[in-house]
Amino acid sequence: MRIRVTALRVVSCFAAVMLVVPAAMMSPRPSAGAAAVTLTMVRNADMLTWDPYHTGDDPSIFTQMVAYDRLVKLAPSNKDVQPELATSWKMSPDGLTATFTLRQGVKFSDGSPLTADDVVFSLTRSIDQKSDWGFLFSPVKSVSKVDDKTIAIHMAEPFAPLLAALSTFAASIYSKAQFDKYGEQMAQHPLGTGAFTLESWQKGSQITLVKNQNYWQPGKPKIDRIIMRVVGDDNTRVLQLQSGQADLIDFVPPNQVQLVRGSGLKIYAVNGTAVLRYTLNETIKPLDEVNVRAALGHAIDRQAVAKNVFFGLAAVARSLLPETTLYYDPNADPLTYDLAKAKALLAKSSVPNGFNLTVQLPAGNQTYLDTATIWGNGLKQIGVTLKIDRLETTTLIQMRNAEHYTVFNAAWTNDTPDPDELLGVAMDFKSQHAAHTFYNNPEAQRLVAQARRELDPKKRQALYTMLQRIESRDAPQIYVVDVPRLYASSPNLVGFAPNSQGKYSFEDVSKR
Amino acid sequence: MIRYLAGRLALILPVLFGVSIVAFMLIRLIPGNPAVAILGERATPELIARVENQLGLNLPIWRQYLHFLANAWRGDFGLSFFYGQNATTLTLERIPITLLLIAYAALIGLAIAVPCATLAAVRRESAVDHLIRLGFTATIGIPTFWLGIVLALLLSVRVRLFALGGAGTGGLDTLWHLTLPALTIALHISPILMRALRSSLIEVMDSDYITTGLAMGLRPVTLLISYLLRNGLTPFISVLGLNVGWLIGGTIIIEQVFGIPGVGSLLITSILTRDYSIVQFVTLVLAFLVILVNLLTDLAYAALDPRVSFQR
Repeated sequence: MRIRVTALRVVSCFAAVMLVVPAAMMSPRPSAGAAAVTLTMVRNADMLTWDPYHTGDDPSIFTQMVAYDRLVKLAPSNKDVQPELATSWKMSPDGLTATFTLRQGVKFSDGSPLTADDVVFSLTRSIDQKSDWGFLFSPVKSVSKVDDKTIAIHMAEPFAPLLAALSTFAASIYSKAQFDKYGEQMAQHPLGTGAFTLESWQKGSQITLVKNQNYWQPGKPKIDRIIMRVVGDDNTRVLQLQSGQADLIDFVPPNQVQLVRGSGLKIYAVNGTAVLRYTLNETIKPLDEVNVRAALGHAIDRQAVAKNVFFGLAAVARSLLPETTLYYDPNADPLTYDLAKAKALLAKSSVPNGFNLTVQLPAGNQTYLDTATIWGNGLKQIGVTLKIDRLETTTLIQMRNAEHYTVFNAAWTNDTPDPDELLGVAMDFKSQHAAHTFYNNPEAQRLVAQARRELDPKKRQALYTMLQRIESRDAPQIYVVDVPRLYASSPNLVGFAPNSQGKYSFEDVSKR
Repeated sequence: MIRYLAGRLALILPVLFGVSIVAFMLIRLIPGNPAVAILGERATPELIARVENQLGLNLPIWRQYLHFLANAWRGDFGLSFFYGQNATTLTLERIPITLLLIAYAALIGLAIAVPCATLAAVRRESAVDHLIRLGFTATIGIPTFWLGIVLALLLSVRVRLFALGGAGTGGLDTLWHLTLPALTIALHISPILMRALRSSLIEVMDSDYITTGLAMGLRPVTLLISYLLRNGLTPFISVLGLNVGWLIGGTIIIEQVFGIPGVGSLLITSILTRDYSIVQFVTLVLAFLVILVNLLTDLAYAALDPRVSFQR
């Protein structure tokens, strides 16, 4: 009997512990006051770090852009920059020094003043070639303080993409004192001048941002708190929006866009963020022949991909550059769907009757699979048999980096509005073997370098048109469609206008 | 009793040791290098080598394991590759919500299974019995992630009865948020519980002491509660205990579907990103949980059945 009683106690205690302890451990978080406006955003992944120096993932980039400001910001046109922490700037006649006048009276979210030292410190880390994004600033030699209101950026050669590079998250300005205090741990403890500041971060599940009480733009932001939750399941995010538990979601699956629109919710398709393309490995025969590559490029029905795979939300690509990039030229003899031309090109090659081609795709990505299937149908008509290999994503990236792939399919996220980042990698053999294609064209390399140095916009346009024409002619990479980034919100959300860099612009958002 | 308990507790360590080997090796058998997962598209061979060196991934696997074991003995289960934080901290702060979800699901599962099984057993081979069994057979065939989505659509979007996703802000709000996922898991596990309970109840109903009780004129309610359920529940408890592993497995998927910040969703994300330290620690924690529940099941068995004794 004694045992029975003891055991019963154990069981009942266990049951109590199971329910009560976890419930007690999750102490209620302090709720905001009645008047406070909270925006709940549900994203498909959590951010990883607040330190731009070590950032690689989009959620980190997008969230850092909320808490930090930069010297300049991208204009709504996506093609120009506007003042942010700098009020004006001037380029020296030789194009080697740019001086920036800093906005006065700006404070960090903890109330401490933003100084020229903070700007110099942050940008010196940005241009560090060992950092993940140093390549964006490769001609920049140093950043120095001129006086309390002015800083100067010194370059080894004229560098046209400077302002565009300064508008990226990688040039975010943060507190030097905070970095001195936390070191690498700043990745967990950001301190910036942005419209919102970090209140709490439950890794992998929730980030809470609160209004920066010291924000420099009067009357902004209009919301008090942003809760960013992580829900990896696409369907659940849509359901949460429909049930009113989320105000805003990202990564809306294209096949649900009609449904979401139909239920009275808002859809935002942000174009100019990425171009879906096939990267061809020229060390694999016959991909070393320009006629073969161009033939492959003319055999994909881009219209069908845009309409059937992306439900009309993607635009047919007419350049390797996304359409909102500076100097984008849709009329530089783009690759179009033209089977007769493809056949004629193939006839001039060493494989006039076709060959077998393998494309390596990430397993589980239906969009890429559907796109490749459409390509395969076109290729079949010119005698090329497309084999689709599906591999686990990290294995695939490793294969691509080791250059053991045949055809790789990816979408390039656009970090800057300037074409230099994308074409500087895609067309320059010295840069990762021209994005692992082994495309080696001295003329293209010369043009890339010349366009980087050229400060006259008209001349730059001509150079980039030439580069786009060469890219379409030689087809080291075959562009397919401009892929939009899709968001959806409740009809009550006003002012949400994410740009091609992924900046949410929450400072202008309000809730009706 | 004490000796029995001590013996069982002493067994936990070798079991966890075995689990640690399996968890350590399995995650490394999955193709895909964590260095590449961390670096993503930008992974150049030089960067990969640098990260592998930082993480100690370039050592032979047995040396990596010995390192892990030596550190684990000191309570250090390594850093998350992605967050650069302690795997233990990241995991332990997520444990309460998972425990709560499991307990909640088990309770709802019992609340569904016990009345249905009793009814089915008492009305054996009647239309009611067939209907209940058919219903539960259908439920067991439905994949949980699909059931979760459908329930969410019905009870959270159409009729805004329950919250969807996340874990709420604590207290009752958390229970409100966890009801749908718990219900989904409960519906998934209740067929097994219902069938086990129904057959053990039928066995008890056929025993002589029930007939004797009836002949003595005991009230059916007394008979049901004090004799039938009491004795029928004993074998059922072990079924429940054995299925805790199943229950935890269901919780992992459901946490991902409903975006609940528990260890399940952490485990899935960590597997996808090859965050070895977290996968290893979460697996150990879940294994410990299963062992613990099995032990408690055996103790509960003794509480319900006086014939079972731990004393020699």
